[in-house]
Amino acid sequence: MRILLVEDDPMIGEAVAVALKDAAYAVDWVRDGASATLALDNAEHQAVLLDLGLPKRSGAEVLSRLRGQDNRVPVIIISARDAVEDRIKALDLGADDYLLKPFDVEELLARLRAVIRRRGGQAAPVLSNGIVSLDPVTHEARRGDSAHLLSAREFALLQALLLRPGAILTRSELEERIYGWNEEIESNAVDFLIHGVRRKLGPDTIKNVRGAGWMVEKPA
Amino acid sequence: MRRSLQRRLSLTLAFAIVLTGLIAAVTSFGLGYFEAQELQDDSLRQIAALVARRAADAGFKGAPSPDGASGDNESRVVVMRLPGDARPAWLPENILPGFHTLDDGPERMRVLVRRLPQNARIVVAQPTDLRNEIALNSALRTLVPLILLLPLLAWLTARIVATELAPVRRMAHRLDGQAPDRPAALSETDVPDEIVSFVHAINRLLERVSQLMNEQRRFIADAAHELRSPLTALSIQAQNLENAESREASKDRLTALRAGIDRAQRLADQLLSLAKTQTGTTEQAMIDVSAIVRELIAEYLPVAEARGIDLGMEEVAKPSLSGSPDALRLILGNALDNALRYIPSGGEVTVRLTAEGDDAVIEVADTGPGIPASERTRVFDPFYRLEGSSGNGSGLGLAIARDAASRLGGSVILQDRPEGTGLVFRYRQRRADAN
Repeated sequence: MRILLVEDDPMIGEAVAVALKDAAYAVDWVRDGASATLALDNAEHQAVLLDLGLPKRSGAEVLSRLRGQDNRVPVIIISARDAVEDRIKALDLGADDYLLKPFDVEELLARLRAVIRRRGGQAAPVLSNGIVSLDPVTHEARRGDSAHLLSAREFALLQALLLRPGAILTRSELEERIYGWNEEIESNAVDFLIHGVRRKLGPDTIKNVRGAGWMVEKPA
Repeated sequence: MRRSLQRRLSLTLAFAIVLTGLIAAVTSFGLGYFEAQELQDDSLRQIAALVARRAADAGFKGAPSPDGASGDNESRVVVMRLPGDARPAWLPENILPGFHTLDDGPERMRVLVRRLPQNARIVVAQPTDLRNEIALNSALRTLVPLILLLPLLAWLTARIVATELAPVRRMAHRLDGQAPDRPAALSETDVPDEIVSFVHAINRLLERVSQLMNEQRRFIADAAHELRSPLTALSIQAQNLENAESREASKDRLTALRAGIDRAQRLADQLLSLAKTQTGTTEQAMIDVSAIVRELIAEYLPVAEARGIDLGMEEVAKPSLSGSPDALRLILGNALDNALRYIPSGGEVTVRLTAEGDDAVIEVADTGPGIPASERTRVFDPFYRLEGSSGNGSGLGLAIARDAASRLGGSVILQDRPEGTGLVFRYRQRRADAN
């Protein structure tokens, strides 16, 4: 799951990026509004964390441009502006949520899960295709009676597949959801992660479609 | 003693009225008295004329009747026709015709002697006590309206003064009722001309006060906003440290947390410095500028070395300044801190001491990217940051330097470095040894 973080304060940006990576998100971090627009035009993100006071182009401008292009990616505003008018304006411009600085990381992560879940049309927090279920909070995967704790990247991989059961994801699509821009990707990283998940949950959990990619089965 | 305008006006006006009233009273009393006397002399003259005519007609022989006829004391008049040289005992010999006031008889008398033909005389006399009483009574009657009017006048004066001064009282009341945090200008309508300029002055003061209040309010709002950033960083950094899975990761995250704490600490320090420069006392001491510059350079040398910046000093003159050494330390310390924070590593920072005329000039020159001319005023505003600058500064350094400079009676400007790129921070103050 890939998140765009737009934050000009280097210390906050760094810290949030670390926290998101800990929670198994791939993070692209940009520091100004213009780069944010560029990033949104050129890559697919599952959510955006957007500061309002940004150099070059304000967060509000980035947001209204994004919604003007009919891009429906979930956006959470993270801002130190506590005035009710600011919050109302941001929500009316198309933000999905507004989080006031300073915030608790756990709360940020919970809100992030919530907006992503809503965008996927799901009500239940746990992802499932009827065979395998995945809890985004605990990173615990279940199959039948056995529960397994997944590593951050294994979780990211399985989550990407379970978000769209029945759809085939290519290697590069998977890599995009697991790794941020500046992270080095080893050539067989995806194979390695799939191997890990299959070992824990059973070989038929993730199906390989030769020449096309990988998928999990649709619920029956 | 307080000087109440209304009291003083009322009192002085009342005094003036009473005084003129008194003068009027005395005059009218005197005139009335004199007039009454004249009137009585006239009636004596008429009596005499009447008696003379009747004497000529009927050979009237009046007998001296000093005690008068009837009992009405007020009209007691003695009329005598004296043949030849006959006279009562109280009438002096050889008295000439005309009016006389006689003191020698049993009582004081006013006497009119009139000569008749055939060597006879008519004497008409009246006791002066009686006359005076009549005159006094009639004079006193002229005083009555005046005396009745005096309290009315005094009351009217007090009322008029109070009414005319009412706008001043109302204005004071309105001023008292103002909210202290947002004073509003006083209205100039229905204010007397003499007070309008005063109202103008008060309004100008109120405007300056509310401007200052606005600045302070904005500053506090900005400061609260600025505090959120380091706190946000700290809270996430602490949580990241808690979630660290490896020893190596915790070490990295602890370093980040320390940096966050340093940043919060620095912001708190800078806020405190700013508060001090704004309220501090104006200490007057001789400042050894080159000693202070050397101390500061020693203090910042580790930072400069860590960033690979060549920090040095150039002493062209040895100016001495008077004022607070701490204020100068704040000015130059913030200039050095900015220079070392914002220029790329491998650069050069030089503190230069010179003199220009009567002024001492201390420059902190760097080889950094400089600041565009259009931004050189705004960067002195609290929390203003240049676009794209790293957000770890407090945003207060230059504001502190400017406030401290104005406390010292000096000034701060930013300039381009004459040779190559870079910024020069220039502090200028009148030398202590200037004439």
